[in-house]
Amino acid sequence: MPSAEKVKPMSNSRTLKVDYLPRVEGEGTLVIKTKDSHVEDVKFKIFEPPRFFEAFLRGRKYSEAPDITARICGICPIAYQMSSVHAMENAFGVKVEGQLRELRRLLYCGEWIESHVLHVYMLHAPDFLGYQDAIQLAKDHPEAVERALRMKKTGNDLVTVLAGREIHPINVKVGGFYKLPRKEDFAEILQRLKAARDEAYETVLWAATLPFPNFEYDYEFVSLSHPNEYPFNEGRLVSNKGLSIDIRDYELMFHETHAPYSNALQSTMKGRGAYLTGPLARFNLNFEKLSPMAMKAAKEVNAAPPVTNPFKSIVIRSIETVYACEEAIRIIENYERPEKPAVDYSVKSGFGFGCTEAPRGILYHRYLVGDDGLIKDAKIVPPTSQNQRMIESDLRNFVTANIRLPKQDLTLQCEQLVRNYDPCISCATHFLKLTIEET
Amino acid sequence: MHFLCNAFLKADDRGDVTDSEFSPGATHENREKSSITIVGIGNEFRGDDGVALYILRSLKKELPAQVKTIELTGDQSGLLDLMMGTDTMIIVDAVSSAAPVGTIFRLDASMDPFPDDFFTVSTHSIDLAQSIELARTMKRLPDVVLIYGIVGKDFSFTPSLSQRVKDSAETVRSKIASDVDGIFRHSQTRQI
Repeated sequence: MPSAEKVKPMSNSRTLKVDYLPRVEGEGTLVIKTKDSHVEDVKFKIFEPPRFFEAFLRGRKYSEAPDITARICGICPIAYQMSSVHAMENAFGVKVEGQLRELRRLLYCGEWIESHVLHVYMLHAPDFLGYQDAIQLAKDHPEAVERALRMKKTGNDLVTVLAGREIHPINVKVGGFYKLPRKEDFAEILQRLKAARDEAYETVLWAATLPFPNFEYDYEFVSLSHPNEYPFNEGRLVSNKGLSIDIRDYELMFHETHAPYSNALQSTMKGRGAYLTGPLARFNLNFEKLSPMAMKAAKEVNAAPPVTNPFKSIVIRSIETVYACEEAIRIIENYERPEKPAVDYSVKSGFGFGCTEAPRGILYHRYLVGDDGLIKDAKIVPPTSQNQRMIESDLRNFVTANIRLPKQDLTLQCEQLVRNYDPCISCATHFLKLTIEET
Repeated sequence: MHFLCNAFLKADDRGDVTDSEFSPGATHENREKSSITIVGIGNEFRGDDGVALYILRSLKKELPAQVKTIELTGDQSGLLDLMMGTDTMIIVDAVSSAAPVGTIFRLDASMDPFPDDFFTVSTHSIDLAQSIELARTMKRLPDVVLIYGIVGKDFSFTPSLSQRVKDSAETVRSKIASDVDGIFRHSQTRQI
C-alpha cells in the first residue's frame, strides 16, 4: 500500500497523490475533482490490452484462440479460454455435453476459488480492517492469511489437475480437452476441496462481520442466467430491469464508447447507461441456483437479493467461493472419464459468440472465422470495461455523499470502492495512481 | 516476431508437449521438492516486460534437470506456494526506473526487506515485493532468495525486446547459470 503524499503548493488547489511501484504492465489512474464541496469530475482511466489481442488474433488459426487469449490475463486465463472455445463451438455448431461439459465447469470452479480468495483476503479485507496491506494483516491475523493461502492453493491445484500446468492452461481445445484426467487423479484434491468448502463457509461468517460503509444504489445488474445452474459457461444475458437476450444479441444491446481521457473503451447498455456485472449481479439474479451450503451460508448472514451495497461484494464473493467448492466436489464425485477427450466437428465459416462468467463478471467474445479456419475478426469485451462506467458512477455518488471526510480517509475509501469491483488490473495494469483535486 | 511465434504451443500438435510440461493430475502436493527454482515474471506482449521470460527460455536448456523453472505472468502471490517447495529461489523481473536502460539490479531478498517505495497500489493483484514480504511474515521464505531486475525502456504492446535489454539479458543469463553452479558446488561441499 502506498504512502499518501501531499503535494500542495499552489494557492487553493490541492492534490493528493498515491505512489505506485514502477513495474509496468499498463497504467491505471483515478482522478476526482471537487469544487465548492461538489464533485466536478471523476475519471477512472485504464488501458485495455484485449484490444491489442483483437488485432493480434486476426489471421491466426481458430484453434489458437484459447491459448492466445489465455495470455491476456494471468488471473483469469480460464475465463478467456472458456469464452473463446464457446464462441468457436458456436460458430461451428458444436455442442459439448455430459462429462466434458462438467469438466469445463470444474475448471471454472478452480479459477473462481483462487481469484475470489485472493481478492477477499489479500486485497479487500485489509481495507475494511484498517490494515495497509495483506502483510500487515498477516502480522496480526496469521491464521486468516494461512487459511487464505490454503484455499487459494486448492483452487490453483484444481486448475493444474485439469489444465495440465500451473500458469497457463494448455489442456482446453475447441470440442473439449486434449487429455482427460482419470478419476483417481482427483482423489487428493477432493479431500482438500472439502476442507476448502468448510473454510469458505467460515470466510462468509467472518466477512459478514466487517464494517461496511453505508452506500446503496439502484443498479442494473447483468449476468448470465441458466435454467438449472448457477452460471459459469452458458445462459441468457439477463438483468433485474427486464433484459433477457441470447448472447448473440449482445452487441445489439451493449455498445462501447471511447472516453477521450483514456485508451479504454467503456461499455454501456444502449439507452440505459451504466450497469454492474460480477458477483453481486450473479447473486442477485441467480440466488435460487446456489448449492445447499452456499445457500445456508447466505441465509446465516442474512444475505438475500437484492444486495445493493457494493461494499458487501466481499461477502458475496465468499458465498460464491463456497458454491465453487461445493460444485467442484459434486462434479468430481460424479465424474466418469469419457471415452473421448473431445467431440468431432468440422470447421465452418461464420460468426461465433461466447460469453462466460469470469470471477469479476461477464466476458464476451465474438469471432468471424473464414473457410480456411483463420480468424478474420475478433471482439473481446472484458468485465472491467463493462464495469468501468459504473465504477465512475459509484465514485461520483460516494464522494458526493462523503465530501466532508478528511481527504486521506476519502482517498482510502475511494480505493476500497474501486476494489469492490475487483477490476482486472492484470488485464489492464499493475498499478493504480489516484489523484483527488480540490479547487 | 520469431520470439512470439515460438512462445505458443502449437494448438493442433500437443503430441510434442513433453510430460514435464503437460501433466494432468500433477500438483505441488505430489511433486518432489526442488532445491532450486527459477521464476521469470513478465508479460511477453509488453516489450521489455518480457525479458525475464526470454532469459528463462534460453536458460532452461543448460540447467541441470533438478532445477525447476516457472514463468509467472499474472498473480504473483503464486510465489508463496512456489516458495514452499524450494530451498533457493531466483526471481527475474523487468524494472521501470530512472536508471539507464539495461541496468541490472541484484537483490538478496533473503537478507534484506524490500524498500518501502517498491510497494504498489494494486486493485487486483499482489506484486513481487508484497509477495516476498508476505512470505517473510508467514515464515515461508526459502533459505536463499535472489532477485534480478533489468531496467526496460519500451513497455508498449510489442513482442520485441529493446537491444540494450537483450544485451543485459545475456549477462543475467550467465550470472544465473553461475549462481546455480555455485549453489550446487556449495551443496556438494557441505555433503562432503
